[in-house]
Amino acid sequence: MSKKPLLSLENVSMNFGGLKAVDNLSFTINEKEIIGLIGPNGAGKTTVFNCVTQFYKQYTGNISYVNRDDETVDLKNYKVTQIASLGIARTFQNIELIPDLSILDNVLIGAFNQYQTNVIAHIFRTPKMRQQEKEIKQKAENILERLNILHLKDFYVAGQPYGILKKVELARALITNPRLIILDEPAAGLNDRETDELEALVYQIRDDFDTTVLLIEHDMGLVMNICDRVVAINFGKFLAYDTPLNIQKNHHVQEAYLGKDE
Amino acid sequence: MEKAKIILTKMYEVFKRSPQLHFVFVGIVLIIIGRIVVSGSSHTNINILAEVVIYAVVALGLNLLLGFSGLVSLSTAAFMGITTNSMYVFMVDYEISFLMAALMAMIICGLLGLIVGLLSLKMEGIYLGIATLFIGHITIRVIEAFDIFARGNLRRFPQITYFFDFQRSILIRDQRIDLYTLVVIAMVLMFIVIYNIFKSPTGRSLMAISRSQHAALAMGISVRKYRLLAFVIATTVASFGGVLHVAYFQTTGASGKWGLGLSLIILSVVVIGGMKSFHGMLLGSFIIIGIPALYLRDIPFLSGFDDILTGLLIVLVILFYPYGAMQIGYDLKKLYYKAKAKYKARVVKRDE
Repeated sequence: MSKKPLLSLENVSMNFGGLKAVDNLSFTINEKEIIGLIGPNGAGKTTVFNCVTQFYKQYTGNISYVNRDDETVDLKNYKVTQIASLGIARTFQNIELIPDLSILDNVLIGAFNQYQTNVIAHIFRTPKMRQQEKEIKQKAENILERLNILHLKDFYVAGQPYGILKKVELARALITNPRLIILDEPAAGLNDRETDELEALVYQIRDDFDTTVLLIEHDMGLVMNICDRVVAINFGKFLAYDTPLNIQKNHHVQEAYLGKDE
Repeated sequence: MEKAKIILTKMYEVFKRSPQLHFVFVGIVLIIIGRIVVSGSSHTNINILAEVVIYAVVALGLNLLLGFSGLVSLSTAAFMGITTNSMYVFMVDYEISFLMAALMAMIICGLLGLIVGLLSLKMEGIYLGIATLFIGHITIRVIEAFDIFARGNLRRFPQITYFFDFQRSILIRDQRIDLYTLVVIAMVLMFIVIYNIFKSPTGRSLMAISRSQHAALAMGISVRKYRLLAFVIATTVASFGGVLHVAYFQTTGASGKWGLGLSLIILSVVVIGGMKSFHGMLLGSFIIIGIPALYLRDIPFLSGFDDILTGLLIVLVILFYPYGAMQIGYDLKKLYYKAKAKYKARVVKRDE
């Protein structure tokens, strides 16, 4: 496995008026790794994600990322809307889909950056626009097929079961040609069978789509099974960064989850 | 004979799959209805039909804002007023051709829409509604303040040359149907344009910014850019409605016409017709503008109360069809299938 770093956080801190949601956090992710980010409720996991994807801009410290041309860039210099084209895609803790669009159309929203046509071309449906739409639709259908939900592509998102919605969000992230995919609690709300399926899916994402995976998860079974390494944080502070086995043995982590022995 | 059948079924399949052709079909039906109305005894009803068609177009523009982009505007009618008045200035005072004047008026309204759009970046929901309400009000006051707009009085355009040497006057009975046909063709074109936007990456982005800003941002869609775009398109379409008003009625309309009342009527056309519905705009426009003018006014003891009846009608539709009057169609379909199934069951029973 290659050991090239892809994303690294250096002394990242984020304050919400007095409250330190993330406190001096540093860790580095290598290419093709599956990294878990764990911590008790309110530990600041989602805040870390929001800093990486530039939803929050007021963080201090440095978040650097190696882009497609092998150049190391500071993510702070990019707008939140430019993050997707850098190759960082994310899903959300609470599903953020468009309920009154079909599943296929929802996936196509992820391909927004790949359209090279403007509104005028859309109004007149120019041949170039139609060609492009066809190609991207094909790509979206391929992704849906790999996630086993192609047969649902024309259904509205509203009313679909939770497991399907999670997959649609994943498909929408995958169509952006990501190099780093950030999953915010992918197993939340899934039943056991779906969680098992997710496990296989995460491996498939890494191998077939050639991406690195960073995920927040509360399902420890899942995290310990699939992650190469795990970052543990509590109250925004770094606890440990190690293999799942060592994380389980780490007494700082045990303390954070189970409390201190008196 | 067999060949003809095959060709017909093929044509039907193409028609079924292309919503753009549906709009053309509706346009043809509207033109046929217009011809029947004109040849009948109550031929002035064609004016009401034209009004229904014009407001269906304007409502569709507002629908793009309200239904797709989740933004509200109460100055739709004011933009129509700006268009009719500025077209008068362009065409009569500066002797610019009809098409050129229409284009200029639409560009002006598009730019004004950009300014309203900038407001929408700072406010949402009801606050945006109030802000646009006052923009509309200011517009009317500006029109009433200047002599160049005849201080908001209604002015009739002299003979309009539409294109090449196509000249028609609304005052001549036989020429009205040509103007009406022109308006319907324009409506069909506008419906196709908006439908194409809706079914394109632009349309999906507009939906994304209103349904989930976080997802839109994470996918690289700029909320600001698409909000501005939504306002520019909506005001340009409203302006297009103003152009159609000039084209058919050949007047500027008095300034009082373009106030909040009309904006609210257009808003209710969108609500009654159904958010995100295309054909619904025609149905809504017919219910709100057509029915009172065509039928309610003729009932002798009700003549003064037609506004109240319109209000009641709106309340009833919202109560029973909250997703728009187009739902009536689905209900009828359901009834039909139910009756069909019942009939089949009875036939099977009898055969046994």
